[in-house]
Amino acid sequence: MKKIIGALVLATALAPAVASAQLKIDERREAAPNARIEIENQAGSIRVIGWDQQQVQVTGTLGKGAEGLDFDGSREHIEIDVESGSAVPFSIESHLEIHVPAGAHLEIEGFASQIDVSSVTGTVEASTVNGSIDVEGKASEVSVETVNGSLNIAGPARQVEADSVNGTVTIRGASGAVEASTVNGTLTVEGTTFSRASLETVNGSVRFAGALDRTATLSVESVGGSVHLELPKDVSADFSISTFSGDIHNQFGPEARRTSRWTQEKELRFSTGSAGARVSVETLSGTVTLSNK
Amino acid sequence: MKCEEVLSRLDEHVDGELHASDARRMEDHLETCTSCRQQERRLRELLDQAARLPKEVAPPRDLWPGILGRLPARPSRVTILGLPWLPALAAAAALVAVSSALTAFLMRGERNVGPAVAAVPMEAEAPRVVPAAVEEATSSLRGVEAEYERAAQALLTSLDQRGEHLSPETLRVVDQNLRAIDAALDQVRQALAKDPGNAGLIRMLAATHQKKIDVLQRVVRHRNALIG
Repeated sequence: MKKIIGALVLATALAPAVASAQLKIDERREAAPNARIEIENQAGSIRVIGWDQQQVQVTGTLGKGAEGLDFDGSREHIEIDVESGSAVPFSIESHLEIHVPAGAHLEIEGFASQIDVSSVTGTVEASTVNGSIDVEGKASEVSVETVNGSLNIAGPARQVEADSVNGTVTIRGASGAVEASTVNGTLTVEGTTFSRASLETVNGSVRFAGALDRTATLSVESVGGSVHLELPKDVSADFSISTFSGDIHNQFGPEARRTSRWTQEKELRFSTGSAGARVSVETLSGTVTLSNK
Repeated sequence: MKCEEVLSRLDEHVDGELHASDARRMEDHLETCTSCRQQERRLRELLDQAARLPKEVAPPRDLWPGILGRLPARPSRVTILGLPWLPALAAAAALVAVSSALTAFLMRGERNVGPAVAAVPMEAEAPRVVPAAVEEATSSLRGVEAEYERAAQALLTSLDQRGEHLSPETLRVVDQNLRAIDAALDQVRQALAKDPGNAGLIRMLAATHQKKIDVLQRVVRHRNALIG
């Protein structure tokens, strides 16, 4: 830990001031409807909007110190990259608004960047370090990660992967497979019918609301956070819930039992309907609530 | 393809996971770039070394599904993260060792703890493991934890060497979250002290250690991508 603090002090000393002078850009290229588009802007913002044209348009401003915009590639594969030269990349704040064919497959990378994606029906892969990521629309698959920031995914994605270290993760409207984790932050998943959901936090709370298909697995792990699962009344599943020192509240009927005279550990195992799906929750000190809707 | 992209996708390349067109672009670049070619060679050597480490014995799936999914998962991913820096090599080796050590520990747990549970009637609410098994399990667990700590330390060292490339805010947040994870680890250890041999707590301990490794790996990966 001392090492990281040392690096922090060094980084503070070396980080230059954010520049103010900016260069305006407005460029276009032809693109296939399902083009793969890679976007990189280490600091500032990246806003990507799907449209019905077979073109990619980049507008916005490049921060002082940027060597230019690399906007290159074929109709099928386009790269958009703010070139930082020898400068510390996260010191150059550029702000890009990029229109892409709605069916594009996006790979977006930032560092100190806010990333927003809307109206894209293809796939979205985005990562940043200091900054939030918002994805709205009908993207089929979404994979996002940040270290310090929130992740918000709203839309009927069939596959979502979302990992934050220090921030909330909110997924609404999804179905199919969801994998989400955070260390400090609330994790919320609300959707339709899931085949697989794996949710992990260290200190954050977890809230899941949705239906499970016949062979689904829903697993939740949290050390200190509370867990609230809201499932349909007629869910068919095997439940395995345990908490070492928290409580378990169950609207589906059976009550938890203490498993030891020596500790406060509680466990709850039961099945509903014809079973099939598997629900497992493990916490150390968090309270687990199972509610039906 | 630029050096930065080549290095960030080198692990996919050596794993044969790149699309054909990307693989061709990668190979074109490697033919002309000595530095990237050298990194590719080092990565392949590292993977060879990892492959020569003792193979783990897979525990029964029905006993340890959580651990299975998490532990031996991504040796090739681990290796790329700190590729240009020696400490990450140690981290990679340590993580492989963690995988093997924990698996071995769990296998011992199955033999020693399992029968003891069966032998002691639950209604008696006696401690669920016999003292000798507890002692051995605790000792093994300490060894596993030491391996995790070694892996984390190697990643921290790697981060420290080029930490100035990360923003102060990033380092502050990483530090804060590592502390939160350490606090969680302490809580799980305290619980384990009350109930040694508790499989759920052992799984949680391993998962929390793994979370720490995941956080560090992610930051190192971003740092590496940033500096190319």
